[in-house]
Amino acid sequence: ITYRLYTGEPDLPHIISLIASELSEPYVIYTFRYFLTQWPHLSFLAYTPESPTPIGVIVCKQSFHESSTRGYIAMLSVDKRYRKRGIGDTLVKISMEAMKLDGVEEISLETEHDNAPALSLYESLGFIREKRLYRFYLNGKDAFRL
Amino acid sequence: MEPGSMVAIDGFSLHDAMTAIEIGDPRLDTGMQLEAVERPEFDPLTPLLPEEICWIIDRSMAYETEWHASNQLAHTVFTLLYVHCLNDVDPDVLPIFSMLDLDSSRPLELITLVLRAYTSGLLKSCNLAWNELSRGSLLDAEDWHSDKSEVSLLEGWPVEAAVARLDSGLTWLSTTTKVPLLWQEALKFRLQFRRNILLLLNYTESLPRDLGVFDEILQSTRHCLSIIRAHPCRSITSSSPARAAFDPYIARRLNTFLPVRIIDLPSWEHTCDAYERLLNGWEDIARLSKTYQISTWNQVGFQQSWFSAPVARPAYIRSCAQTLFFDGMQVVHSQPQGWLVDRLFEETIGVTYTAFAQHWGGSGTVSLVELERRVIHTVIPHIRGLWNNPARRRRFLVKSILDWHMIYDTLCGLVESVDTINIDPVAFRTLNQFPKAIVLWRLASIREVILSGFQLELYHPLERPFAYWFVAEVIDIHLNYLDAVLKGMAGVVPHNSPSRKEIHYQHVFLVALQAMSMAMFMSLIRSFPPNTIFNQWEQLRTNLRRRYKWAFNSAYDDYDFEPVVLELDFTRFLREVQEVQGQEIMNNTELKDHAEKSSKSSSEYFELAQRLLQSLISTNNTGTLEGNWGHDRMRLLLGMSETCQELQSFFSGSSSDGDTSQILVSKLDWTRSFSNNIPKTPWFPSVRLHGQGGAEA
Repeated sequence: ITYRLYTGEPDLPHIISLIASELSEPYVIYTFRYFLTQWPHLSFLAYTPESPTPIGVIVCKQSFHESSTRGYIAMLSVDKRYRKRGIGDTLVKISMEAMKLDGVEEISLETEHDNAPALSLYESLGFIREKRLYRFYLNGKDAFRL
Repeated sequence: MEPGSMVAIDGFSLHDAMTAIEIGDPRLDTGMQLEAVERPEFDPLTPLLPEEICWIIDRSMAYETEWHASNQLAHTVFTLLYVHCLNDVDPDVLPIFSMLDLDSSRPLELITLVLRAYTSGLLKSCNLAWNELSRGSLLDAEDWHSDKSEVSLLEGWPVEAAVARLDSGLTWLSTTTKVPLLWQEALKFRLQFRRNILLLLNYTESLPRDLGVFDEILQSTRHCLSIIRAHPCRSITSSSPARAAFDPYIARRLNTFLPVRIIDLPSWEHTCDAYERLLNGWEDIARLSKTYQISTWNQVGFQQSWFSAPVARPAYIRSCAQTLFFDGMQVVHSQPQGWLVDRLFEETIGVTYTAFAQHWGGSGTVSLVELERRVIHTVIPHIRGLWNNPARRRRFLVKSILDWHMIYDTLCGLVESVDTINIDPVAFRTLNQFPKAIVLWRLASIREVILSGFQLELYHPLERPFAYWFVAEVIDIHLNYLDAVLKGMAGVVPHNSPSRKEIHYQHVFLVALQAMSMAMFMSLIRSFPPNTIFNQWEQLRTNLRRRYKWAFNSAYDDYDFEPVVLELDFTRFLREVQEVQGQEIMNNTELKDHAEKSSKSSSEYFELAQRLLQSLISTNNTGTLEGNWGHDRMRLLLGMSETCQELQSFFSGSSSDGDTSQILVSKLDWTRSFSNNIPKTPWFPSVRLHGQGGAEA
């Protein structure tokens, strides 16, 4: 598995396809562009020799929040066929390193309260469930902010 | 512009990006329909069988409960197409020939009188609930959804007119020979149920006026619900024209910006359970409307979340409770805001605020106005906040911890300024009770913040021992303050006063809770591989500082008096972890003394808790809570007692089998996320039965 930085618009359709197929929350193209145009250096893709299109993606941002620089993992998706190979884990670690290089002091994200694989992944990397957000998602599910 | 570049307005935010809609995107553009979906054509005047009308009503009831469960009207109630064509089934405007029954088993009155009346009542019911929610403090798009998509909820139509229409439907059903008796009764109960729901919604606004009538309607509604529950309408054939009465994709044709979402309709049992929760909520509201003890409001507010979180009770009921407590002008519909100040102290320490205020010239004087303002602006949001959804409630309680300290600081400053030479000792002792009263409320909030973390499934497994340990510490301090308050009451507050009674109950309950917490702390530490806490301390410490960041709030530096319970004593925690793990105790007198005092085993702690809980249960002691609230308290005590037994057997059995660590941990069920799985206690795990899944939550 190889990993590379997001390089531009040609990557966008593949990213949209990966995210749309795996995440419940629908995002318009403007949402993707919001992240990828402003923080292209914080988004990474995973490739395998078997597939010409990426099999995993992570999209992040960073901003100034209450006197500290905070990173945010907006989207993480790995193609179902390639799960349980540590791809998600690696994508998160790569993006965390990139955000740390940028001076980020803390990183947050949200995930569905019953998304056990995501919770397990992030908690193994040291994230904690800071708060619960009631009916955060359009499907009515609660979220944990990690 | 280069490919891939973007122009955005200044301050273009994520919210702006996410609220944009791409025209033609079927996920978000509700008007976009990719494939032709064959839907049976809907003609509101298609004659239907009585059982088909019943089916439609039952389905619409399920959708109504889903709206109350914080879903959109466009995805629930409005999927009933009769909502959009009530005028088309108005018998007063239909041509005469269409009123002729071509099929005697499908009399048109079932639609023009019965279903029309029901649908009108349904819309009016939604209107009344909408009004309450929109003027309340619960959050749109979180606790409920206000979007009406420009569909009428019969806003300008009087409730009496809706009731009259339902009465006409009921009258026709009672006198007609066109409908078999079985279905007459089934439809009558449903119409009666709708009528009662409408009246309950209407009467809620004027509580406690007409309380007797309200109670009667509530009982009648319960009766109707029990009949309806026991006799659900059987499903109709797939080719029945009644199926055309619902369009889950109706949002495509309505003025709404949210994507279509197909709601999975709950089962009939779950629908009836949801209505029962509404009725139980109304019963609480009726009782609260004549409750003028803020301590009761406080306890009821805590209890209603203990038995339901992380799921929230119906937003409508929570909003009613908040509005009832404070509607923007008066407290509990009739009391001035200043009344709260007196109630707070009288109920907590048995002494009126006047006994304090007289030393500064009385209530409302320059010296006291800031204190009184702070009390009012803390108590009102505190009580109302207990009816937020559980996640928001916890965040609110965290913020209130500092607010309580501000009052405490002000009170301490005032007491300190008193001339101690010329004051009666009893009076001075009484004055010193006032800051303690505030400490009791603050400590209860801190305890709730810690314990609600279990209900909301926030804690990592390594955090749980600390949470139990810390709550035991907080309870220890709370007990000391209860003792001090009781001591201060001697000779001042009668022995049979409500405040004493409640303190006695709280004392026993808190010792039991503390014992269970210590037992869990010890048992969990022992379940980890040796030195786990120490090996992972760097990460754990960082997490705990984040988790309990309110305890490190620098805002406390602005106040003169030190807060009771603030910074966490990690050193002591680690020492106790060390002791529990049975490691060599350092040669330190203080430690040895401490070890001797805390030499109970986890089993002994569970036994102590059991004894104390049983002492309350066997004497039916629920403090000052009575009726259903007393039953709820008793239910908590019974649940804790059962949990005590269960966990004690579990941990004792496991340690004797040598069963430790991961196997042990995986058998404990910490999940709270299933609304139908009501745990015995809010804050302790249950033991998975043999064969159930063992994934660690």
